[in-house]
Amino acid sequence: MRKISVMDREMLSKNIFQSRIWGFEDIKEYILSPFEQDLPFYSFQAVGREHPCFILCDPFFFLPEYKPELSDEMQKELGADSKEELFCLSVVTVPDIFKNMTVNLKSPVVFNRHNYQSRQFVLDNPEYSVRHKLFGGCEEEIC
Amino acid sequence: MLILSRKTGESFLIGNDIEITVLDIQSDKIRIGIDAPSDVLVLRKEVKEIKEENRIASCTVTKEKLKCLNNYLNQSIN
Repeated sequence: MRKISVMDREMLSKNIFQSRIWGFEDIKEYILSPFEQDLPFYSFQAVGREHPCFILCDPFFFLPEYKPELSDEMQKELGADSKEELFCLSVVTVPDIFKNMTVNLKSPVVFNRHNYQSRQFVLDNPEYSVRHKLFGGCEEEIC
Repeated sequence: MLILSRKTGESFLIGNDIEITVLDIQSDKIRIGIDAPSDVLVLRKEVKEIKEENRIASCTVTKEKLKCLNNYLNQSIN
């Protein structure tokens, strides 16, 4: 699986992704928009409606050692010829106190950069949690 | 809890129309086949937790919050 590049970021925001997010199976089309100034965050907004909108992040930015094991079945479901066509982003839960933000490492959203198919999968990796704290530090709240 | 021992290829029934078959056994993993009517929901247990987390994650996103978050991340990361 390749990491997400600057070129990817520009290209991604211009297209609609077909997706399947657990609990939101009725919503099938989303737009992925990068945050400003090269932050490793994206909004993932349902097309033509306000809700749901998810915040996704590049998990490798925070956890370079993160190794999601994608199966051949996952690759096939996304219609990819190789895992190199895929990249993954993780769903972030943002509480009112931002420093307590958590990220779902257990079930990343995996994207096919060629055909704009995406899906949220459940990894077999037992070590990854649904609520991994993104910032270990103690940054002050500014908002 | 009812406990059964099954070998590869053996199965058991839940009610009249749900059949569970052990397909393959490896050291720490087994593959299971489930034959059930289409209206029976079959979910890995962790998906329930994931659905709930997705619900919370999507509920907490507003336009104002996105703006604040952008500022916060700019200061924290850049």
